[in-house]
Amino acid sequence: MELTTVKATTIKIRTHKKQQDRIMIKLFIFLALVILLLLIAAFAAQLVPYDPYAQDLTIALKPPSQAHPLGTDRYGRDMLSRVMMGGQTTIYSALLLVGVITTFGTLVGLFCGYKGGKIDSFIMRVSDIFLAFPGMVFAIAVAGVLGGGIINAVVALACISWPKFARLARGQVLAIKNMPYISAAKLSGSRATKIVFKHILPNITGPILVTATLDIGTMMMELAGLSFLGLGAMPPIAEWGSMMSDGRSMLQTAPWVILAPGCAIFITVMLFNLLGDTVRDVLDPKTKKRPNRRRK
Amino acid sequence: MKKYIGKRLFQLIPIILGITLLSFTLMQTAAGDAVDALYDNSGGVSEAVKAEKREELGLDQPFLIQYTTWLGGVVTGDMGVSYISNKPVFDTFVSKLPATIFLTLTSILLTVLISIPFGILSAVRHNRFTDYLIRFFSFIGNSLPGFFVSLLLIYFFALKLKLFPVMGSGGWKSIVLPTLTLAIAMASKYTRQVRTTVLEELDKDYVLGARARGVKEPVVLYASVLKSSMLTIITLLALSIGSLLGGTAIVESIFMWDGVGKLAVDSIMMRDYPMIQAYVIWMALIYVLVNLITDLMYHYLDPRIRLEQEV
Repeated sequence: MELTTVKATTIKIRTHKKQQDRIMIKLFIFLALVILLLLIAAFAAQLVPYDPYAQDLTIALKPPSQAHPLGTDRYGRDMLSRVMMGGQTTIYSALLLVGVITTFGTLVGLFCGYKGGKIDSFIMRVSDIFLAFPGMVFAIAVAGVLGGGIINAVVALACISWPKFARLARGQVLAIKNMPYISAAKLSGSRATKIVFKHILPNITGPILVTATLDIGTMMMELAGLSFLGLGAMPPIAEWGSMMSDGRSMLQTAPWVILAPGCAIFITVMLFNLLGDTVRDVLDPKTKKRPNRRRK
Repeated sequence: MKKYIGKRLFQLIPIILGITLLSFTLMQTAAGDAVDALYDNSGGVSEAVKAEKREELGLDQPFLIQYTTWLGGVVTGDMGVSYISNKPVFDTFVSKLPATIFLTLTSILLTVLISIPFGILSAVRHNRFTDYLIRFFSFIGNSLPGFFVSLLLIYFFALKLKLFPVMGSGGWKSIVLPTLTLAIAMASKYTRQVRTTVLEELDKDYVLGARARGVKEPVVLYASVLKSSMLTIITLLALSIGSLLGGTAIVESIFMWDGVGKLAVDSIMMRDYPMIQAYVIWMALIYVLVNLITDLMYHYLDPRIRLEQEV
């Protein structure tokens, strides 16, 4: 009787360990692929086989061949080189955007959650207003007002996206603010900034990191969408969204002009989503709890 | 319940004021050079003419006066005149709205038809082949940007197979591709959410109890689990209307669907600020209203919340 329970527990622990190992392996694989992608994008200028901006009308709109694996666009520019250069613009502006909204939102949330009171409710009402605009509507308007340019598109999307992180951080702060260890820190004379950054921030980074990673893909698609509408990166700068917009009129005759950047976005977004899902599996306590509830 | 409705309506006032003030400020910062832009293409125009035009448009007044005059106009449905067509902005917006609402409704309908059965199926066959397959497709759909999907659909269904027209110009066929584009993105998201909701419900103790009492599996699923998860599912869908309203802009301008999204994109290209302003404000108001109705409906339909409030 005793022995079987021990055995069962051992098996349970072992399968749990195996699951954990699998998740960690997945995490490393996706992380490695994302880093590879980031490196290719970062060193695109050195890696490209051709100058992505050099025009040669004699080879315009050529289908994929050995010399040009992804074909050429209507100015005879090599698509592979342009997709690589475009990756630099698209991926790093999406990362910049997520970095900005995560940092800003978290700081606002930390401040509001810890401080409380009137200033907290005022800032939260302001964030309500930003959240009251449906999805891209406000971003389209801001980008339209600011004019074209990838930085303006980043600003437009940052305007509507920071409240999400502010609310998330604030909620987390409220949950741990009244824990005994915070009171102990206060009693021992720690200053507010030290408590917030040393005792609260490390404990709320998990959920914020998960949300931020999962947001990279979405933000990338929205940025590319703005560029596609002509509200983001301006030609001749290579950017996946504007490259696809460029190829719209040649969809019938030269589908590769759209397929190359389109597939690049798809693969990149998918990779970041896979990474985000895995990071969530590693960090999110919610998914860890599930087997516990079953056992009960 | 009445008290709750009152409270929610009261909370709406600062939000609506904020929305209008924010949109107004935004457009105002930009509109300063709108007069310059207006005359850019008509060659050299003297400063006097420009100043006259500014006065005509009310751009020379102090900020707060402009805002209150304009807000009074918004309430009465007078949001100014388009810089481009000289027609009333509000009328133009309203005339394009039905097309967008129609597109939104067909997309939601298709989303419901796809995501609810597949989400349930995925939950019931948890961690089996069907579940993996459905999750795989919803993952793919989640990683595809809308404009890429629409171009792929145009390429295959309009240009290669010639089944549907490329652009939306009348006929039931022209709505198929834009609807499909919007529904693919939404359904991939909602299949996952339906799956999670049903899984959570299946995990509850009453399901275990019903199974232990020998209640048949279909009865457990349809009579208990689905009934209680439907509320969450419907609420999630209703809340997605907002992202859909914003998302139609890209799809509408690709398929030349003559709705408010295309109107907004065109207006931005032509720097027609009153038009953009009307679009932003009305979309936000519609969104806020839809969310309010959803929230009230949720409170009304859920007996746990309703009864608690009545007590």
